[in-house]
Amino acid sequence: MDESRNPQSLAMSAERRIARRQEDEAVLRAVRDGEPRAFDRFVERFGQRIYSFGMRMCNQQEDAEDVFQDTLIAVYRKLSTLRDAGALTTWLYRIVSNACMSRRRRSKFAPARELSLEELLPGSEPLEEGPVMPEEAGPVHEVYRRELSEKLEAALRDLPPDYRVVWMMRDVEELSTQETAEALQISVPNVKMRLHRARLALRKSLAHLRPQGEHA
Amino acid sequence: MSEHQHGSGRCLELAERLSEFVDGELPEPLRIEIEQHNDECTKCKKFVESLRRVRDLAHLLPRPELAQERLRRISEAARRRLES
Ligand SMILES: [Zn+2]
Repeated sequence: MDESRNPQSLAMSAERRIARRQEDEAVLRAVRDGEPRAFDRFVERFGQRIYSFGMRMCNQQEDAEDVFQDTLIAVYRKLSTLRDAGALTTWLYRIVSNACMSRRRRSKFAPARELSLEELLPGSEPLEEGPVMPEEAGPVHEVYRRELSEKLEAALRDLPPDYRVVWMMRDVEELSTQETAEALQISVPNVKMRLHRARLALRKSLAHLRPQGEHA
Repeated sequence: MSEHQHGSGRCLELAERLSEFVDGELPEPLRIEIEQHNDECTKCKKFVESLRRVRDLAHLLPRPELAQERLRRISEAARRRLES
């Protein structure tokens, strides 16, 4: 069995997360301090990450490429003037999400709307258990994993952007609640509310999924 | 199986805090209340488990990748714009 496909092993350990964050900060400091190789280091370290974040937010390769380029330029124009030495990563995600949001005005995004708690909580319908995880799927594990990830991508596209961006930062990029609040310049309770509703909406979209042969 | 539904009083109030619960971000008294509640309430307990699974699903999401050549070309264009 492929270990890397197991969500538990894919979720970063606290130590790895800290190490990754330190390397991120080191590259951003190199950019800020105008080190000669910093541009290439930045592209190598953050290029794909920014692009994939842009793809998830904009759903179009062209927009995601623009998000990457806009970010690169904004980082270079603004980082050297940034006085606050800490939290450069948070600052970077702010630039990235702003680049996504300014694309949004120009492209066909899922419309902004509020997700109400009532519509997302399980009532009497048999959805309490939510989706089955791939490692519980037995022999059809691989087929089921693919189905689940495709359905997750579709469910994510249906999320209103204000919720999707919070889910991306917290659950995919693994920023803390506080960092996400700073990056998006919204309050901590607002981050928590949007994250919770985003997870509930994804849960609801995926709750009926079962490996083939099983029925909810 | 417990008969109660999520529409009822305390379950609904607690349901609003369950992401904070799975993230370990709740103040102690509320965390303990939810743990005790879930010992008696099968539906809430299952609900919490499903929420945890959904959070872990984020790691199943493939990362769209840009071809290296394309990445290089875009960064070179950015570099030129910065130098001009
Ligand atoms: Zn309950």
